[in-house]
Amino acid sequence: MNKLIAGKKWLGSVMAGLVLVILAGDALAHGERAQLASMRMRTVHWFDTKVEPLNIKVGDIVTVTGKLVTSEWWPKHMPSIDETVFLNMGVPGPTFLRLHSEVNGVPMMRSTAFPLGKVYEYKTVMRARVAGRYHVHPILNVKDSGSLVDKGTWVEVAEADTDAPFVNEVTTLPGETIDLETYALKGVYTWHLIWIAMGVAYLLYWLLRKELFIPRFIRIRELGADRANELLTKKDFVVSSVFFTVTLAVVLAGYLWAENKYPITIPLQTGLVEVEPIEIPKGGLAVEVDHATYDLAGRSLSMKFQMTNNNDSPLRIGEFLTANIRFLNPNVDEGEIYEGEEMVSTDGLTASVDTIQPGQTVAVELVASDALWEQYRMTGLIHDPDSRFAGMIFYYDENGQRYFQEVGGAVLPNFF
Amino acid sequence: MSEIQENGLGAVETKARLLDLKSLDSPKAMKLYRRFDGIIILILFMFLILGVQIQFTLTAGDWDYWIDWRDRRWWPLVAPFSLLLFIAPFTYGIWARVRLPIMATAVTLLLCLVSWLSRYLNFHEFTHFPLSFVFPSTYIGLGILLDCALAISRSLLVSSLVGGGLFGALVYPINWSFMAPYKVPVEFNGMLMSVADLMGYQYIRTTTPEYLRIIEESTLRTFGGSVTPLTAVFSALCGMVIYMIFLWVGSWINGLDKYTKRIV
Amino acid sequence: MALENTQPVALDAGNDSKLAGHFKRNRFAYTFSAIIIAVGAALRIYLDTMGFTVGTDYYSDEFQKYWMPVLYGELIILGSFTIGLSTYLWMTRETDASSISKELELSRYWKLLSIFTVMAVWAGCIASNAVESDAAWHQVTIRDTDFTPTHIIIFYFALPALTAMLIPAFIWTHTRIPAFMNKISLPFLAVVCGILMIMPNYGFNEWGHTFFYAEELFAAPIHWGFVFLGWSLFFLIPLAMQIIGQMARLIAETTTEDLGQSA
Repeated sequence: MNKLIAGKKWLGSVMAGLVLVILAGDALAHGERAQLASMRMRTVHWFDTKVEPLNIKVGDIVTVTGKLVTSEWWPKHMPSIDETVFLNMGVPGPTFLRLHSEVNGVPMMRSTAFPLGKVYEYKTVMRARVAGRYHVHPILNVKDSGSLVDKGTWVEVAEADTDAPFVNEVTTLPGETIDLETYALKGVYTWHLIWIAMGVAYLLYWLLRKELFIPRFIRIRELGADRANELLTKKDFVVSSVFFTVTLAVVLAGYLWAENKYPITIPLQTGLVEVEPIEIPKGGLAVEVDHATYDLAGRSLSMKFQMTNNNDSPLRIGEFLTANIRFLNPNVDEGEIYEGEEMVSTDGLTASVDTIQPGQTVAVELVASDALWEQYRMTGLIHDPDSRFAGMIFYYDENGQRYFQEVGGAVLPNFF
Repeated sequence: MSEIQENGLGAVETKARLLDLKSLDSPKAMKLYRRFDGIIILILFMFLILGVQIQFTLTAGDWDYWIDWRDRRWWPLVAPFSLLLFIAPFTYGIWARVRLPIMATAVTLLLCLVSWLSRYLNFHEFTHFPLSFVFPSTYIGLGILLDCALAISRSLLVSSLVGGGLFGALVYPINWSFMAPYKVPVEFNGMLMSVADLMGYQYIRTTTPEYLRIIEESTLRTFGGSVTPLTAVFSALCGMVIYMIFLWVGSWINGLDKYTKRIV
Repeated sequence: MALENTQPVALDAGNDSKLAGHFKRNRFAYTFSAIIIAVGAALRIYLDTMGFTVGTDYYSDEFQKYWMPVLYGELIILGSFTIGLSTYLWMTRETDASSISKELELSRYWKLLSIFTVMAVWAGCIASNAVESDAAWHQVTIRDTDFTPTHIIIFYFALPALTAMLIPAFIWTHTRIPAFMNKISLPFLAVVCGILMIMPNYGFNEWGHTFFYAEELFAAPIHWGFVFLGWSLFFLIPLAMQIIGQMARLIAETTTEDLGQSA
């Protein structure tokens, strides 16, 4: 067995290495591309996602920060994020250890609720635990709806400098410092071995005998159901009684031993915690959606709006965000792109009106166009049973102050 | 002898059964019988492993995978329910035909062994969880109690009342010996958590969010906070009832050792 | 065929040493168990190395390259194995039960047990490797389609392979062993049908997961269809009793001569 596992590990590492070489530089998605396009557009708008640093060693810290806006266009048939939600991280198993997570400053060890149309700033601090190359996605698990996935960022985790095993120490309230990686495993092994030994002994007693299945079958058939118990001997009775008594005694002894060794214990902790949402900052741009069409051949979404600038500064539209894809307006050239950030089209947005002057009401056409629509399977929009879209527009005043707000409405396909 | 004739068996069958009985004195026949024993135990136990794994993992698996699921209210109820339901039909058949009170121990022992192997391969090697977070529970002692209750009382009914009851009631105590350390309190970010909760938080499970856990939640009517003993008593009742019901299912299934002329 | 010398196999009457005799008698079980364990181990290593590296996104080129051919290969191999072997066994069936000697009949029971041993070993492999690999996978990974790597192994190979062995075994038993010929063993049929029905039940499982059950709770009611079908293994006991009854009779009859001498 050991040999088999050792062999497997060796082969495994060779193959994993091979695969990594083949895949280097590729952007893999992790489940989000399978979700309906309209659902990705109308649930949560993630932005400012920042993962740093991107190259670390086992034991190092990675911080993931970002913001999200819960969509007011949340599909009514889907259980809402304003009931139960949990801030999570999309990584393949505990390759990272979550040390801290918070939303709007509230620690997020438990689940919470996010009212719609508000801003949430989250932060997750993790410690790398297993070496490898991981696509790290912030995730929200929404009860009965599923997982809402932000874009991923590749993080390269190298082996630690030392060969020492990974340690995850915490101090309990009674004051003991423990390593969760191996905590209390000795007791687990010991008690399991005791019970396995008891079970094996009991089975051996009954199975190691001269007459077993066929002979007993023949004898019982001969004796008939009423006298079949004659097959059980006095020794069987005594041995069973002993096993019965010893088992009860071991259960009791184990229980008392543990109670004595760990006198202070608590039940598992659960229950929702509350988070105070942040209001969307008012930029003074009133937006009315006139019409939106999706051009299949051109891989572009074109939206027509009536926009009124109620701000006292001229406003310029710099970015459209939907389904985690950022379409940036190259003329405005605002909006930071973080290291390792994916799903950004740097020249994907064109606006028919460059600057909206204070007090001005204009018809604006925004066209978000890029091959990313295809790559992230947004072309499936026309196959959805609910053809409506939502997204966020980001606009800037003359000081470069950023504002954002959600827009949405029906969308019609344009086949030709 | 007389019974056989009363049963209305034909002369040929009566003679053949006599011969069967006589073969028990033949060393040559006994050698073949023992060879059969070895093979049938292997086959039966391997299929039992598959059966109990499917049964248990898909009805009580989540509580058994993660230490932060093993609560006071649901796990001690769900786990014995699931196991007793699976054990009963096998116990009935093996008891009725060969009078061996072994199936509860066999099922619980095999479940324990396969769970260890599976947790190691799938949760530790494949998905990197530390074994301290995903080790299985044990039910072997409960299986022994159930089998012994049958062996001592020689009655399926009494064994369901005593053994089924104990099987349901003792889930928490039998596992407490190694589970207690995981319920030690920890302060984390200003909140109280058990070690198990903390592990559930730290060892990231992408699609197993905190709210997914089906565990005890606080209520106004705690009746003095006696959650564990109350659950044990209710679990004992469930154990007795479900075991009896599935013994009956077993009696029906084991009566089906028949042949049919065609597939209906 | 019915005339071959079956004494050594049926009655363990060869001249080999104890150990050599054991391996010789059980060579079918050992050979085929070794083969299926090798197949299982190969799939396991493939899953371990290619699962999280190229298996998380069905729509990626890597997935189409490294996982879909596995799926197609599995379906082709299992389909042709089941249909081919079943057809062959049916075409070469025994037509005259009375031409089968008692020794041959008994040796076929031993063969039947060997066949069951191979299936049992595979059952153990599924239980220890496949079942919870799917649980572990789904609880750490977002489900994208019905073809996740663990599904490709457990749903489209491991469990169907058990059916692929059970169906020919069912046909073999009912065409080679007199007690099962010209009739159908009810418990055997129940076992085969139960395990077979697990495959159609995927339909309900996947439909439910896309439609009304979004969480990855393994103990969820949506999965209980598999549990119910797993209960078909309860029928192994009455099936064992049928075999025990028949084998006891055959062993008693074929060792009678001995009995007469020793008496």
